[in-house]
Amino acid sequence: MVETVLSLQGLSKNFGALAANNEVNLDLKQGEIHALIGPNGAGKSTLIKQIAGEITPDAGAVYFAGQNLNAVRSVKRVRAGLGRTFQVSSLITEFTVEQNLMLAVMGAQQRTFRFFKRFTQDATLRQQAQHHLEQLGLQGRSDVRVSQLSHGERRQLEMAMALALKPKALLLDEPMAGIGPGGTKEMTDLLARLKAQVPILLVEHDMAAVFALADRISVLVYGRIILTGTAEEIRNSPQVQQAYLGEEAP
Amino acid sequence: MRREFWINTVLIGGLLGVVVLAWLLDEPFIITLSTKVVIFALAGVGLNLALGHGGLVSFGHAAFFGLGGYAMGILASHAQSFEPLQLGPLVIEGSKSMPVIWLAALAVSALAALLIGSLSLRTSGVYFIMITLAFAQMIYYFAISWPAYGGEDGLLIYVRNGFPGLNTLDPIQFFLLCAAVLGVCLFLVDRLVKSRFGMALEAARQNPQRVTSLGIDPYKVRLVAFVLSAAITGLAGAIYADLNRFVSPAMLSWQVSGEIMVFVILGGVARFAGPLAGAALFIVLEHFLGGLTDFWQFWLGLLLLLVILFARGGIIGFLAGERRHG
Ligand SMILES: Nc1ncnc2c1ncn2[C@@H]1O[C@H](COP(=O)(O)OP(=O)(O)OP(=O)(O)O)[C@@H](O)[C@H]1O
Ligand SMILES: [Mg+2]
Repeated sequence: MVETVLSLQGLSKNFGALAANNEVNLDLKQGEIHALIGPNGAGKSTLIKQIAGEITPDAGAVYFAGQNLNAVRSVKRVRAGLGRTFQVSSLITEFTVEQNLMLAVMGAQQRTFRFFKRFTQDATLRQQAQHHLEQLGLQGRSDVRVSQLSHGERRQLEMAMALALKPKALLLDEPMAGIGPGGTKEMTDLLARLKAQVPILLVEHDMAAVFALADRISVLVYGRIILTGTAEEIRNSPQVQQAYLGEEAP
Repeated sequence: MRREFWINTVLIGGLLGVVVLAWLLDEPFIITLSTKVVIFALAGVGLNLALGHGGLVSFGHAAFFGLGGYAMGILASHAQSFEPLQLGPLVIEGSKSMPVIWLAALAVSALAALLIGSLSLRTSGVYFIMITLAFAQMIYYFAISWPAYGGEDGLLIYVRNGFPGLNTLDPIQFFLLCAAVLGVCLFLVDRLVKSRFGMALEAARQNPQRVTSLGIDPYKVRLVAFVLSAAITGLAGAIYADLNRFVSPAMLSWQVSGEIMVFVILGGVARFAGPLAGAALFIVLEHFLGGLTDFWQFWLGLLLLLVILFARGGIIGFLAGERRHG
């Protein structure tokens, strides 16, 4: 039997009268990409934030590697192995690309409280940062300040930082948004390669990418999961067609 | 960066030049004034770590400055009266030795910062400013109403404390000692800012959410920075009290918090020599403009306003002709 890494049980979150997440059950198994799709405002990002611990659920629980995370702060969840990227790039904008990655490597090593040695002379930090830089094709951009990066490059850097943490599960909130067809192709290839190492919960609007990558797909509409199934099942579901895919469906 | 290096060199060289000249011309008052610049700069170096590098706008650093001052006053007064200090079962001998007093000042202000910081760092922005101010005011009123160490009148120490191998009563020797302490602290803070920890602190200032998502706790990073920052300002307080041979609640007042902040902002937030430039300018204005007009603080205020509006990098940034990290 394939091991379940992450499991959400009856997760609910209300913003005032709005039920952003309504009794969501979902799980992520070792070796799979589980895509979460749904129209704008369906509550996908809210779900990711609850898993990451940024938002406290009103009801339900998040289980990660069998442990209930409800009382675990977000920083501890990261240390436990939950890596993520943000829908809107969240980077240290005055740092260079390399420095952002060095920070990520530092987080992975859990060796932050070093006060004397210059980080620019920290060989292990630089080597590992360089490795993750190359993994995402950012070599050559190493000394560029993040504020000078293109949108696509920022998305790549986000991914590189998430991978530098060597996560046991990855939460990706629209990694393909706005990176262009070439970028989408590269990101799709990368995720396809990655899933053997780390299971991925993928929030994505790009249906071609989702159908190409996902082992399972869950459809979120108005905070509720209306269906979970394979690409085939989702594509052929009249319910999903009506609620979401509409004319986009192939 | 090159240009800023030369500006710093000129600044430090200029100060040393003034002191050497004053020493040759036998002008002890100028040496004492320069010593004051160095001590204020040291207090600013402490605050600059929290405010400049950590983005923690503490309006309560007078608490640490004053606690350092009282660490000196209390230890020296017990040595002066030959009565040990009784803290419950703990009996502490008084001391007239600067290294001992400095260690006490570092420890006391760091401990206070640990308590104050662990509560106030749960807030941010205006709330952080107000809560640090509130803590400092609490300590200020406590000092005023506590009669054991002079209350409102403060504590007078008859003879300046000693340092092994030096005659601290000689203005030039005391100046050099203070300058050496400032030099060591500037060096250590500069290394810290460029270390792993400094990187995390800077990142936490810019984007705490991102830092958290990398498994680094911004709260812890800030708390450590706040404690180190307070310890340096506390050390400056102990030395300042020694300069005056006097400590009083005035050292704990909010005006002092404001002045330390002025050194940092005037000189250049997060700049290596910002606090030194700020403190030097402050003393020059206070002394020379204060001699001409009672309203020198008006001109200081105007200058501060201009710096904040037009030179975000303070004087150093302005002279270097670049913005921060430029
Ligand atoms: N902090 C908040 N306070 C109030 N309402 C919120 C908050 N965050 C999200 N919402 C609302 O909750 C709903 C779900 O938002 P969410 O960002 O999770 O949607 P999403 O599925 O990620 O949408 P998109 O595809 O546009 O990213 C939206 O109606 C949004 O306006
Ligand atoms: Mg979203």
